Amino acid sequence: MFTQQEHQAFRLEFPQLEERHPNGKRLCYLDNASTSLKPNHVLNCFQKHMRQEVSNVHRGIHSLSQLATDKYETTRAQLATWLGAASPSEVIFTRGTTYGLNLLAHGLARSYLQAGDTVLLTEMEHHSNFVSWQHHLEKKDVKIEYIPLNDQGGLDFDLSMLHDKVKVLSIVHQSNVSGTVNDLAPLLQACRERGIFTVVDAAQSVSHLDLRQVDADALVFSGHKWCAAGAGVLYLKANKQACVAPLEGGGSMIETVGKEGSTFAPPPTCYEAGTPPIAEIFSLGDALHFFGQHDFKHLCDWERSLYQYACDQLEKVPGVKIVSKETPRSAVVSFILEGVHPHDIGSILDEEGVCVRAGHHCCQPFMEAMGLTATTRASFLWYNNEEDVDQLVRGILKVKEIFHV
Amino acid sequence: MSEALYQQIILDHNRSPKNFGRLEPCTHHAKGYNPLCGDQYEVFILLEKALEAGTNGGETIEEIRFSGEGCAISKASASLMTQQLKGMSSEKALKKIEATLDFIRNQNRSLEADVGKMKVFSNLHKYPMRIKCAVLAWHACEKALTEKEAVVSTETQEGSP
Repeated sequence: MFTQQEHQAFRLEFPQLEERHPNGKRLCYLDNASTSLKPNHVLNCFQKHMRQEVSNVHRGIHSLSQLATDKYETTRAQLATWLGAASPSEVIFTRGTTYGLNLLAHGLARSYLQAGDTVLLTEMEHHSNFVSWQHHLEKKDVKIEYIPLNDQGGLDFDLSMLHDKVKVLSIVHQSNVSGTVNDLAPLLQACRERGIFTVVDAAQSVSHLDLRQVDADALVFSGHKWCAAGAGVLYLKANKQACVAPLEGGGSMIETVGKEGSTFAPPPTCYEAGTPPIAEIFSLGDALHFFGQHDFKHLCDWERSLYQYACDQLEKVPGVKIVSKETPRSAVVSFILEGVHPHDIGSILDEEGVCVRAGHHCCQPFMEAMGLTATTRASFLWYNNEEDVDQLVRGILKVKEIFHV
Repeated sequence: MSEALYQQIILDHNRSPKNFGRLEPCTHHAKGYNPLCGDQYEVFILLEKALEAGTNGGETIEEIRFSGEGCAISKASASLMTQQLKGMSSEKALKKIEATLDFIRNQNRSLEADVGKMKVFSNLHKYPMRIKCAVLAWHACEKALTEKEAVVSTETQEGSP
């Protein structure tokens, strides 16, 4: 694990940690489940690209375009290796997790799902993994069912939920509300045995867990939560690509175009219509390079021990209750403080320099199942330290003082 | 700083809101949502023909109540609203609502004399994210008075910050 000095040096790689909160206080950034800060390496590469290398991909025959195209495809190949994909063509660049889920919901609705089929989701999902399915299945006679939550905020699953009508399971790897990590392996195995198409939302877990351990047909995540400038990835198994029609038509994704109709390029190109967010996609490779310079296990060990410290310190504050204690959990902790609404907690913490999220975290079905309307959420990444936790706890004590609770 | 926002009157109304709870039957009703944070309130109004002379046969807010859940800012604002509008003619109430919304949204200090206790929110311009909380119930009430039955959201209302 990091020594304090090593960790201090690691923090210096993230320039925003040197900045003050807009109100002048020490910046305590605990909103990492929303988006992450960016390291110097990613920032420098992004700027270098924008200043020196701008060109479109897959278009020109000039040298700059060729260089950009090579870098684009190299980034794809690097991500494929990192994800343990069988081939780079299984890696599709997207705008982010939400786009990836919409692409899948639309594509499966169009090419795979039949009237009478069922799509299985869970009550733990982010709105992006609810609304995309509701939206794209609206005109289809396809039912959506949900794996319910138990009273600890974990999934209450049994095999009977994978009945004959279920053709797709789309499930979150790690909750953005509670940090709970779902044990996907047995579930994905059971789906494989039944021929059920599996989708994993790795928006949170990408920063905390080894995605090579997840054997799903499709997996989505965003770059911005994972130190990249933006963009995202849809991993889609080669032998399942025929099940997923492209979401967007346009330039690049075609083979031939005629007035009577057009044919599409093979994957992954058919899923990447128009000019992609090139600089952001390059930054996915830069983020990978950054992680390559640090032992990921090292980072995660630090984060795990910090998370334990944070949960312990929070529970010591009278009136604070951690929401959903289902284990294993990591990186994200939601809590309520009796007598004070999370929105008020968020405002007061902000004044203390602490950035957290307050509200339903785009998980209203989760909140409803847990009998809540809102929580305060602190979320950690490898660059956070005990000082951040202590500043959070001092902020909560300030809330208690103002609200006399 | 936080003390400037969370003044005692806001904390008091948050803890013990006035006119809190449903009112059934009522003549006018609206639901107000803030989809960003999940705050939701309902405003219930009982309008009756005014009997007093000189009221031009207009209608008076005989009873007004609110229910729901949200932060201290939204709850205190709703509670103060019910206190201020109770007993008022519908016409006067709409004017009061207009002035209060203008005061909160635009921090129109010239209205400070017209908004009564709501001037406790005069610091809200330092917290632009919280303006939506303070206007939620007032906006719902305005819709209830003009449309009898309405649903409003902080993300679709005209002139929302």
